[in-house]
Amino acid sequence: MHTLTKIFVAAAAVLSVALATLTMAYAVNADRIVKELRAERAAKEQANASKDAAVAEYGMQRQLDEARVQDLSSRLTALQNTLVEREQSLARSEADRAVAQQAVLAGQTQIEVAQSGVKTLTEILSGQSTELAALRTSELRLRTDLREITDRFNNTEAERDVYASNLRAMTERLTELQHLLAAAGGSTAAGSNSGGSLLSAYFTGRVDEVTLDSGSNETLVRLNVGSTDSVRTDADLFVTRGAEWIANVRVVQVDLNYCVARVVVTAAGRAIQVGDTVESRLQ
Amino acid sequence: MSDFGMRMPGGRAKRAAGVDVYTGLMGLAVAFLLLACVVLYMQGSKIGKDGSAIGIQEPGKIVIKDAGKK
Repeated sequence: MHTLTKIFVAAAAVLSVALATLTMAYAVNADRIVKELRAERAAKEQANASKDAAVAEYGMQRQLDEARVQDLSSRLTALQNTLVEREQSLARSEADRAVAQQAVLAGQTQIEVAQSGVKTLTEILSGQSTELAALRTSELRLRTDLREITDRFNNTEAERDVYASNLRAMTERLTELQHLLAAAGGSTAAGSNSGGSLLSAYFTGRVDEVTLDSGSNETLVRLNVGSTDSVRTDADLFVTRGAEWIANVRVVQVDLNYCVARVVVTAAGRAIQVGDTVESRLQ
Repeated sequence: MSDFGMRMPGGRAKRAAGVDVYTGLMGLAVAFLLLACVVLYMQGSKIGKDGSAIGIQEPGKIVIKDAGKK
């Protein structure tokens, strides 16, 4: 074999190995690129489908937006009309406000006048309050003086009553002493009246009760006259019925408004009854 | 022994081989193999990883050199 042939054979072998390597790499890369291309196409189709759905949704959304825009436009028109009406109303309100401000100014003037009047009235009321306080103080002082005077008057009345009682007692004592003095002179001596005394004051009463004392076997009567009527113990009283004398009684016990007496002597055929009249002296 | 290239006494002297038709065919085959290798290298460089003719693309991560150029 020629040397050149050998060289060609060796070169062919080396080139075959290189070609095989390149061919395998090319085939693998081509296969993977094809797979990637298919995947990309599938993704593209899916993306296109998503895009179509999005476009459809966008169309619907656009229709809705257009309807909303129309609605908003109509509302905007209505609002513009309302705005015009409000502006007109605002203009009227401004005019009213101007009138009201003038009224407020007039009212403020009146308020100032009224405040000055109130201030004057307050000063007057303050003066009257001071005078009223002084009057009340004076009234209180007068009432205190009146109470003191009333107390003094009452004390004086009480003293007068005491003095009157004393005077009456002294007068009665004087009368009694006069009777005793007359009796001591022997001018009058009555057996039935021995130990008794006559009262100087004249009064009448009534027999309330007639009882028989079982211990002393004496008739006791209760009369509706007492020490307030100047009745005293051992005083002789006369029991009558109409113009007829019934009996003489002698006081044995005296209370303020009644007294108890025992029968000293009784008219013949007569007896004391409840309701008979009792007198301090026979008329 | 002559198979081992030993010259044995009495052996006939070997005549040198000349260029024949097989040499020409092998040359032509080598030329076409070389051309195929060049063309395949150029095309493989276009789709190989990072412009390498023998670089293998990873699945899902296809990288082609100058893919943006027209």
